[in-house]
Amino acid sequence: MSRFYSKIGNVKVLMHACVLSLFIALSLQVDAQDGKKLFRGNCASCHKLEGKLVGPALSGVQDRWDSKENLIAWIQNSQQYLSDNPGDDYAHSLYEEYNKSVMPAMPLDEAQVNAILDYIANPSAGEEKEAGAGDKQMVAAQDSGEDYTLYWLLGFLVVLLIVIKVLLDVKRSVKHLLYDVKGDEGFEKDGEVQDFNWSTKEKLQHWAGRNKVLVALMGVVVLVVVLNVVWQGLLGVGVYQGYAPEQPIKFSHKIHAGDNEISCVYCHHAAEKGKHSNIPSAMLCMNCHQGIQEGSRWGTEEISKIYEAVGYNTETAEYDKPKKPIKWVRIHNLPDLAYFNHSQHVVAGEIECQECHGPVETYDYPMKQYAPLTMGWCINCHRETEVKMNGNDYYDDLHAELVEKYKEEGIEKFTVEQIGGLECAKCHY
Amino acid sequence: MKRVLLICSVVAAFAGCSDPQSPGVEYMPDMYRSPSIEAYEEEKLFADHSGARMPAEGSIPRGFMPYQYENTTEGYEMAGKELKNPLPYSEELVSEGKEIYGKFCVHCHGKKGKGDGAVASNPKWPGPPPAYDGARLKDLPAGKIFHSITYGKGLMGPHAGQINQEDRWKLVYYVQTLQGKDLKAMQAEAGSDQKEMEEENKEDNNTENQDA
Repeated sequence: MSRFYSKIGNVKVLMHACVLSLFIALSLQVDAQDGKKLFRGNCASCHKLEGKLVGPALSGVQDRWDSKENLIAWIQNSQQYLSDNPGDDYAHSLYEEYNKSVMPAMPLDEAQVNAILDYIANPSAGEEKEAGAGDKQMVAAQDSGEDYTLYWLLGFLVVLLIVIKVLLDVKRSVKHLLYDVKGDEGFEKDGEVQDFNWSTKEKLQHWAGRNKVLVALMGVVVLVVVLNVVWQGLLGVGVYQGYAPEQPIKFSHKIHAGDNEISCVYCHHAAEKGKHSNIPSAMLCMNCHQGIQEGSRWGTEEISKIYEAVGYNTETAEYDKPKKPIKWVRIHNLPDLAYFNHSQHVVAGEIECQECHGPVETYDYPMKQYAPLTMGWCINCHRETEVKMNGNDYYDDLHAELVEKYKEEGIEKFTVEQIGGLECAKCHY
Repeated sequence: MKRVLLICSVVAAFAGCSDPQSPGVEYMPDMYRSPSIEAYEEEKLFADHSGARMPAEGSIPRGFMPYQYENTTEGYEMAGKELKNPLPYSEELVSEGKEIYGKFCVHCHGKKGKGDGAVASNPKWPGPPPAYDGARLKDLPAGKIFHSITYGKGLMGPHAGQINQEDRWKLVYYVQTLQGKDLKAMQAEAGSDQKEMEEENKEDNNTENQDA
């Protein structure tokens, strides 16, 4: 009995040990996780572990400082530390090296700074789990990505062709057999022709002679099709719709405007201010891409082209290389004879970008022209679009005038046509 | 055989319109591609072949007042101390500021300025910006907000090229509401008692100095 109890006792001790070790392991992980979170929330907007960002790389930061206490004091309030320790050459040289840009004081207590330093010393702790989950997701995504419809259709077509060929061969063999049985006279009597030695041309001529109506109909159909193709082709002269040329950088509007919800006018800000909308300068790309140096699809290949354009050196985090402009290929192009003003449509007309440019936030690379941008297309929109005059002070005076003018006709809503949108000289002068 | 080839080439020529690499057939291309320089056009006159040129150094657009503080730590502190919003406060300005915020700031700083916008929460982004109403930014004076939008701060790039000065001041009003400031009360105080306002500003700056 006592042995039994002692066994239970052993089990109890074992369980306690297990629970305890589990707790320790968990709390350690919590520490590492907290450090990562704190790092991301407080440090990562200026520092990376490897390589400069705004400030220096933090990997091995503890080795570069004499004591951990000084480092913690520096992190909590760097300006205070500099004035308190005029003799710390390393801290002062660091301040000089980064053009006296101040690292803001961090409202962090010692334990939090320690958690961050632990994370910097050992960033991989607690990351394995996340990585595993990520791989699984990737596999799932790949599985659902394939589309077999085309293969099925092709397979079906091949089978169909084989069947037709076999049937034709059978028909031919049967005819040969019949000829053997009936002979020339029998064929003549049944209205059949012995055509075994005819050329394809002779066969066709014979068939056409017997099916004149059908041939005439086919001729008409072919003529209509050809005329239609020519007509459509002529209508397409000078229309760029669907034009989607390769660009020097594989820029995806879907990633930027779709997934990351960046507004169109963040980059194309001149659309609200002037006649032209602008292609953003490469420096504007740097607003985000100083931080994001690796893309999800092409890695550093495409993003490094921005750095080439603005002369950014990722190692020194400075613009110390030669600059090289990006040669974007222009897609939308109106002939010189037509005047178009972006701000007029976007600000006064309150037209969404997507109405003319299509759902650009869903367009991956390359960008394409959505609308035909023909005169007919412009006119159609001017006829149908109601001008949003209420609450738009641009139209205050005009609105009152139009209400007066169209009172007798009973028109209360005004399209662009009524404010002169169809007059030739509005766009051609 | 020649006839077949001819027909094929004619069909191909028209089918060519649907090739995404080509803009298609152009009738009188000189109406599309005019000899005058269009925006962003390549121009062989210049060494880098870029038709878009920088204005001559030191040139100032008509009616434009250059920003007087330099992009240095001292400039930042001075702007914080001296700069005041030149636009008289009104609720309309705040709502205009909100609209501008929705176009130029929201994707990083988030709807409520918590630093949780779509870009900032993208795992590829190094680290989100601090919240406007958090310990680091809630007492940031208007001048420093304006200075930061103009020149950028930390990972945030300069936005002077995208947002003009007037719009930046409207933005400052809206950002201040996100900081949790009662602008109306601040404005009323400024109107009734200028001295008190100045003292308050001094206090603001003092706390900010400790921060920095």
